[in-house]
Amino acid sequence: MKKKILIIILMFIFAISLIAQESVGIALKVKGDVILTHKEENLKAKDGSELENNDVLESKAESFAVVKFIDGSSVIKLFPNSILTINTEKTNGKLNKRSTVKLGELWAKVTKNTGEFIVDTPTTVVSVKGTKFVLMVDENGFTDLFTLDGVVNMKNKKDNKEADVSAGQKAHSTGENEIILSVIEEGEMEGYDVPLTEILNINLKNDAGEKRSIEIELE
Amino acid sequence: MKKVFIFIFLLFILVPLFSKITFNHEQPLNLTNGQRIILDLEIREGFSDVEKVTIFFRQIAETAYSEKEMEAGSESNPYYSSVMSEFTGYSLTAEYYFEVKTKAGNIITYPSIQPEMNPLRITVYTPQIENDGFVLLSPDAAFSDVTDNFLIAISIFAISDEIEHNSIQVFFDGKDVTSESRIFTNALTYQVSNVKPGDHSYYVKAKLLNGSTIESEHWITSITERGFDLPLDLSGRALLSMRYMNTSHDTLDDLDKSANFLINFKGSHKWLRFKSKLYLSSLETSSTQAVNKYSLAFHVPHFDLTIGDHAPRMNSFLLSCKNVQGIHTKLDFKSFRLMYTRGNLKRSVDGKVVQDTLIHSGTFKQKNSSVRLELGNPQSFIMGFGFAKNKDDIGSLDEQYYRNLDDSLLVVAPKDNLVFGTDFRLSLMNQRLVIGTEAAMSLYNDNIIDGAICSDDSLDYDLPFDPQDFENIFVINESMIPFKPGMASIALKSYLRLFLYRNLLNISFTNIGSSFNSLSTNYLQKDAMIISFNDNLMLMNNRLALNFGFNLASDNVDDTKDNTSTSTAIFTQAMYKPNDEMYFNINFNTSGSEDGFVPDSTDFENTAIDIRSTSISFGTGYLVKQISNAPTRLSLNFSNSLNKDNANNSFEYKRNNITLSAKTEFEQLPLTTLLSFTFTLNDNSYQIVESDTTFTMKEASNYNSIFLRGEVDLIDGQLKPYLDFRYNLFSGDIDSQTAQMFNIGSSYEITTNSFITAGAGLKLYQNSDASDSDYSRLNFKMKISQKF
Repeated sequence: MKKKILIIILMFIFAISLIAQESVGIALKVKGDVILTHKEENLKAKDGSELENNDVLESKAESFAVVKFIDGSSVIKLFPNSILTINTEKTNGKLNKRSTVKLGELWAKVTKNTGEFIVDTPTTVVSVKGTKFVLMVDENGFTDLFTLDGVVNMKNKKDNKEADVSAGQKAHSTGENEIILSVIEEGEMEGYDVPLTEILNINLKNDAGEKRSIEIELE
Repeated sequence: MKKVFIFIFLLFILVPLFSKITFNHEQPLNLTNGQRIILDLEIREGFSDVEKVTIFFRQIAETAYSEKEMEAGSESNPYYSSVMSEFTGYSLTAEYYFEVKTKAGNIITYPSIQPEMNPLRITVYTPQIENDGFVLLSPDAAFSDVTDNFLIAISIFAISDEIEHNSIQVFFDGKDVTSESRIFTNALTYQVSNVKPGDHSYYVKAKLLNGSTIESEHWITSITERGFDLPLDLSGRALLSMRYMNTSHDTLDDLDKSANFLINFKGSHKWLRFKSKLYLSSLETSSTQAVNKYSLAFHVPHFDLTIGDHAPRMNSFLLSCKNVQGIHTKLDFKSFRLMYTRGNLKRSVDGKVVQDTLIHSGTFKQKNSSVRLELGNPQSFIMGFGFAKNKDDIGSLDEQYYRNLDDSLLVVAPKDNLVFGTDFRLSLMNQRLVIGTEAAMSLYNDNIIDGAICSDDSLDYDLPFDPQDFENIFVINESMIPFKPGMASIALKSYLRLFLYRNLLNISFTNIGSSFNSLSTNYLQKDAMIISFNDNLMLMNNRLALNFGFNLASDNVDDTKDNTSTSTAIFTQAMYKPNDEMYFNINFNTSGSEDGFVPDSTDFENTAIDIRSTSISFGTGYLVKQISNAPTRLSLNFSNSLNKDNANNSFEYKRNNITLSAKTEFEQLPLTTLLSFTFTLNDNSYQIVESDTTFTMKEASNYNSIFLRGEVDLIDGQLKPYLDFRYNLFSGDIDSQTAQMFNIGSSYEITTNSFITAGAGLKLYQNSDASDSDYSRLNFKMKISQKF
């Protein structure tokens, strides 16, 4: 009986480890020096690197990485001198993404209704449902959020105060007290090398089931 | 009148028989959705007598055929070929036929009998239903620079629990690259190396745990070569081709040489996009319609402008499948589009006058102005209105080229044509169901040489207006085809397309009145009611493809003729591919034309028409992997056809053809070989009349052919020299003839952008019953292609 229980436990552990090893994202593009820490092993990230849960990406100076989550719904661009930990969970067929930015800056684009998209910073929790934003975390953990499209919810970890930050707004949080909202000033986002054009992908299917996709660049 | 019709009809039947030109066409088994296909017409006899071969093609149930000239091979490689990139977008059966124009001016078609009604058909094979569980992660248009680094990443996250991971296959440009791919639990990646400029397609295939096979969407990514930095994005291609032929026989055309040059480019700068095409040929001459073509197109948001040669489509009856040299504009908004075209459908071509006698007439310049207004969203419902005005320019042609100088008789008359049309299309169920109707009516005048009549002219009736006031809009005179309210002046087409449960159904009804005319449509059968039905069904996990269809066409739409001619065509095809190594294919076609006329015993002027064609073909192929180091694909095709005049027994043509081929791709050697045998047995009988006596001639003949080809793949596929040999033997009740053909050549990919092919061929022809017609012919071809 004990032996059976032991086998079941071992199988469970094995199954858990298998699940844990599932790829959850792909590094679409890597430029410069980006370190991928996978199971305490430091590797040099490159185009096509597979990302698993708890993998850490650290971009050095003049380096960046673009990560796409495995469900195709979300893209993160990690700017130089930033540290991002990838974490996801599959629930009801959807991939809930809960990543952590310890330091640095990232740009994200999230598609609606594709599971949760949450970014933890040392001081705040940022929840997104279908939007584009830029997140900056400084050495103190203070967080700046710039919403480019849609609405992003920002919540302090200490006092649970929160604010919805709409497109064109920015928010600053130290992790406690009021979240300060203001308007993104013209030119403030300059220098962030994010796609200025939106690629709108239209998938067409004709009566024969043929698929064609049209890419439209929206400025 | 009926006699004239029969004469013309028989002429079409008999010209191929008496002409020294015979052809063969191996119909491709099927057309895989999204793939290009090359169609060949083999000229077995009389290659040097052919001036040009044109292929007419359309998607089934389309009203008009598009046409394009095929590329000529050579005496030693006697094929006319055409890359049918147009078929790529076809989801329904492709229909086509060939028109061979001889140097003597004869037109022969293949199929020979009513090719417009009974064309050749290729079923579109729709691959396994694409599965949405495959998601393309990379390339991502916003982030990926595929020119620098072409990384393919495909997510299988959504189906990772249902899929057999070890069954996943990755295909890039048709090649299985699974072994070079990385397959993870939720995704796979393939790093493309040494990618060449051009379009590249890729997809994934896998088995589900339930045993069924699924396939991803076929993604296409275009790679453009990175050149020097310009302020604008520019790419293009230049192609130069030359051919030369020399014959050892004095009585035959001893020299044939031509050169063509094509350059096209496209580019963009911010919101402006443009493309250009220029085709120059040494065959351009002022005595024929233009061979040279050029166009320059600009696109800015919501507006297109094209200058030069273009074939816009505005309703099947207004402007369709016709090249217009002029300007074309389009205003394009989400629910509103306005198109305008103005230019020439034909240019003026002088005729030939010898000693004040018109040998052959000229052609008037034919002008076109067309407008189309379209309202609605093409994804759901659109409604269109438009008109086309087509008119011959009388001043464009010198009088001596359209009128006999001695008797002042008009040999060719300038025409005027006005077409008004409307249409709607409704798409439902995510475009799985599409229904629509197109309708048009026309005014037509087949002789406007004297202009419009004047209201003062003595007419039998009073006109409420002066026709001369409207001469610029339409010329009204005695030659105008009367506009009859009703179906006679109307063209109408209704269609339904339904795609449901792997079943693609297409039904159309077309009715074109006898008085309807549109000079801006490529081919329009007048006085015709056509019902077309086609059903394409995929079964057994898409391993079995069934296609069935019929066409019913009849004339006498206005019920003004004594007899109604009816043509029926039934065609069916079954294709079974139990696995990737084996296939079976069977085709059956039967078509016929009859007019129901029953001549009485005293009527020697008129005869009945009852002509029937039946053909059946069977093909099978198997890839024999068991041959050590030399996997060989064997294929066998058999076809049998019968064309018969049932009413008058004036002809009966029987044909049996067997082709056996073996293609071997050696594993240890960079060599591919092809060996094929063809055996054709013709058994023809036909009537000839001499001195009022009718004789029945019987003629049985054989055609045997053996073909050997070897191609070597050197320098990683950059250099591909080839050598082939063909031996043809004709025997039986015809002259005993042999032809030996040798070809040698090579293609060389100098860089990823530069390509050159060159080949030389020699044909040795011998006729043992007429040795004075023996000849040898040498030819040379070269093509240089440069992408930029």
